[in-house]
Amino acid sequence: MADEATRTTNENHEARFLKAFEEYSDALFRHAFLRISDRERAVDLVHDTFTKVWSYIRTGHEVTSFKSFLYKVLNNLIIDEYRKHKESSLDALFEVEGIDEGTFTELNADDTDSMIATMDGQRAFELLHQLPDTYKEVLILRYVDELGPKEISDLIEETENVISVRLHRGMKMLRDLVETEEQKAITKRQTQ
Amino acid sequence: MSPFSNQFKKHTNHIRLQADEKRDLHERLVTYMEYHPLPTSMQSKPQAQEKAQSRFALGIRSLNAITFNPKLVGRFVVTASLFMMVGVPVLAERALPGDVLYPMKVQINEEVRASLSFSPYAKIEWETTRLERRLAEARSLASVGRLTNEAEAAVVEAVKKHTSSAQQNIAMLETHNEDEAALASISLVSVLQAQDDIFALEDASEATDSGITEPSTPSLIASAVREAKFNAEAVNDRGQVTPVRLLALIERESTYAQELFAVVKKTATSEEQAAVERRLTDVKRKVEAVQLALAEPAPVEDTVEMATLAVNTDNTDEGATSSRRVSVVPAQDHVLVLKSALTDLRKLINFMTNIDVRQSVSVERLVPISYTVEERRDAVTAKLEEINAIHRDVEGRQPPVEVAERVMQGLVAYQQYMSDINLSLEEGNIQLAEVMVVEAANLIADLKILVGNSPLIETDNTEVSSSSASERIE
Repeated sequence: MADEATRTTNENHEARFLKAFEEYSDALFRHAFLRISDRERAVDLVHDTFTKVWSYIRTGHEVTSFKSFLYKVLNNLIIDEYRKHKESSLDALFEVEGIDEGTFTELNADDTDSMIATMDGQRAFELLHQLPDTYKEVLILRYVDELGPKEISDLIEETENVISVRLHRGMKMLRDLVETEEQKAITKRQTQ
Repeated sequence: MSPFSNQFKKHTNHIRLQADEKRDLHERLVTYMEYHPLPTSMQSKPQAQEKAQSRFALGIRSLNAITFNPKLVGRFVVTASLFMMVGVPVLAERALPGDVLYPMKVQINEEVRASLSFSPYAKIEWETTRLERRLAEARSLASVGRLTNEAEAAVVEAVKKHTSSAQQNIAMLETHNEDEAALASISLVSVLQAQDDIFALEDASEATDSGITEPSTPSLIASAVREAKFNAEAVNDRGQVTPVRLLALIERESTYAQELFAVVKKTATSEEQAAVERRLTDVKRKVEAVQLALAEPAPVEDTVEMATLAVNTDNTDEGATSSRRVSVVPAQDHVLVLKSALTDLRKLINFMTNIDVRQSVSVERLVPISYTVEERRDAVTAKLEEINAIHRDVEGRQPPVEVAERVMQGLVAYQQYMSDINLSLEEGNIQLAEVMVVEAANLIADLKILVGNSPLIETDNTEVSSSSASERIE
């Protein structure tokens, strides 16, 4: 601990910060792009994320884990982005505010795992953009950014139970979308 | 990891920043870090390195007495390397001409950044930044009396070099992206315009301080900037840019200006804060007015068509025709307003970042306030009250015989002005009202000189008693 403190004191803040840029900028961009589907805007959000973190460092704060802090800042910026361009159709249709996600006793710990075991990952990825952001968020954090439920819980400030429920619901929606697409394809082949 | 996870992740791996995107992003970030440096207390301390060095030296000299610690050596080597790779270049960024690290700043740091600018637009932006840096350095040197002839000549050369380089890149950009080239050109012109205005005000301020009333010869640097501005404007006139692109550029500059203001607030007085904040609000208002105009559907009828319709329907009522007359605001006006807003923003940024500019030029003169319509109306009304008070005094006096006729004609003309000013205010033509109120003020001032302290005109017993009383007092 003393060595870490010494290293933090003596090591150049700028060097650490720029190193974090080299290490995480691609992953952050990927996350932002998958969430908002706008490349140029995703680049801007990544830029804003790093400038905000730099401003945070300048005010004397210490960043112990760049990865989690960067994701947290980016996530907040993406939420702000959604608030600015709220799509009334899908988000309103799947409005989750007010729903108590903490008391789903029917949720089995193995439900999500068993659901994804047989799902086509490629098809799921192609249909991901159709999900509301609330579910896209947790799915991308879990299966693209490979964060654990505890990390996701800390990042978006929800309980692990809520995270598990959202993952389950998100996967269920994806599965339904995949099955609907497959059914459409079968019907089309039969009518030809 | 489950097969699903593998498949899912596999299809996202190709989503990453392209090489030029990453470099541009890195450059933007480094620029941001330069403009928002760490406080001195947080920067790498060379003393810590010296201590590590002396510990190491002690270790070397007393190898027999002290156990050689590879970890300590390794840590020192890493720290020293980091300092050389990052610390020295960062320190060099603050160097001025004549300092030891200045060549590193200009020939290494800046050239590295120039080479990392892959997009022509980024190259143009960087050349513009380098130009501003040279000018800021010149001001810093001048403020401490270190701007020698050689240094001044070097800055003049740098102004020409960076402007020329920016324009070459603009010409290259124009071959495949006219829109972006026009935008870059406007950006360059706004920087040069801002600098030209600052130099003009600095020269005027210096002349005032020295008691010189005649216009002074501008410095070599100011002349170079002005010439560069004229050349850039000549090229700029050929290009067209949409208001939307300009709005995006202004948004970026506004964000930067707001961030700067947040920093400046900590040290500026409340008056300085209010002055800068007011001007930032003025810029925001101009931009919002254009955004509103762009958002509304453009009126399509023009004056000719409406007049023709009026004739065809035998509507001979001139008032009705004129009231139906609408005008289309050309898009070019939006561009002019936005260019003006961009130049004001650049000036404010210069003002906030450059202490030498702040010491020699007031923000009031650098960026005049843009008054709202209501403020202008109030100003006209206040001026009217002021000149009407003078008018009442003039009207109440008996002018000397030799000027009586002129005074009478002047008062008639004044009444006409009042009537026209009130009509203009009713119609919302503030600009005309402002012009006429100035003319009316000049007229009544002249009339006041003509009547001087002539005796008051006797109108009724009350006034006669008053005037008699005042005469007795005199």
